[in-house]
Amino acid sequence: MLRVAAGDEAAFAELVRRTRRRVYGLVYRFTGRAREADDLAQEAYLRVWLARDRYRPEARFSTWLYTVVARLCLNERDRIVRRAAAAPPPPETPAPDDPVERREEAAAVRKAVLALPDAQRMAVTLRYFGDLSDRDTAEAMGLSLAAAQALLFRARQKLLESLGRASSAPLSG
Amino acid sequence: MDCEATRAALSAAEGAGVPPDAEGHLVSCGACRAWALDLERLSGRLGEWTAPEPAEDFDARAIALVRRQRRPARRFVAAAQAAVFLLGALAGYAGVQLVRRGPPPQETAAVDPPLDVTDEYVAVFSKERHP
Repeated sequence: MLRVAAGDEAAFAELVRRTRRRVYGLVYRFTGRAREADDLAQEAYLRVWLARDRYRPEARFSTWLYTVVARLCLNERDRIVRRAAAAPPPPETPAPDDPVERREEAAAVRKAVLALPDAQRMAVTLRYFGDLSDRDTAEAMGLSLAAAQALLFRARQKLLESLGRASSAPLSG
Repeated sequence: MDCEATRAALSAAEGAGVPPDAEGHLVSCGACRAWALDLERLSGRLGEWTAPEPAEDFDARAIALVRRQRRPARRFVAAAQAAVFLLGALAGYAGVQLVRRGPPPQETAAVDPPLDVTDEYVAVFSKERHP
């Protein structure tokens, strides 16, 4: 990243190559749509390039990268919604060799994640799909640790309710 | 600790075991024990939703996007260079024109016509003779 910060285009190309799957996967989990994920991930890299001189080596690179991605996703929410309204999403096409149960589970997870409010969905996306700690999730979203943990708690409650099983048991105490 | 506080504590400590202050409630609350188990499995369940691979030309497009952003700067420099050249050429042309025309004509001050000598003499003479 230091070479990228110095304007090295070859280093930038290498950075894209190494991180594209994670960045694209993250945006895809937030939007639920491949086309929007592609657009936003491309724009995320452009913003990484434009903000390269603001990167400080003290910061963990993945957290810095996800900060750029998270802010872009949350700020571009309206554009995503407008696009989604204009063109209904194509149905997910799971890998044909997946067993039916796994496909159903994947579809249920997708539906449950996409039903979360934006901030909760982003917190879940960073925490689980970006493999960030609670603290790094908070940093990437510009929140305090307590605020991020509160978001994650509400998101987990909703996810466990949506995904069913014993977790849907009502509170007793 | 009630169910809400216990689950919040479990959530904050996810992946790090059961926090000590939640243990007492879990012993007596089956619903929260079930919730804790489901929370443990949540990460694995979420992992069932896999993302597709980025498009094959993803990298090339990302790099092209960055290059397109850099181009305006180059264009600006080229335009600035052209403007400087043009100004220089204009200044040079103006200089050549000035040299060709030679120095501007000097301004000539208006000069009173000389008095007629006879008139001057008559005036002086008449003052002497008739003071």
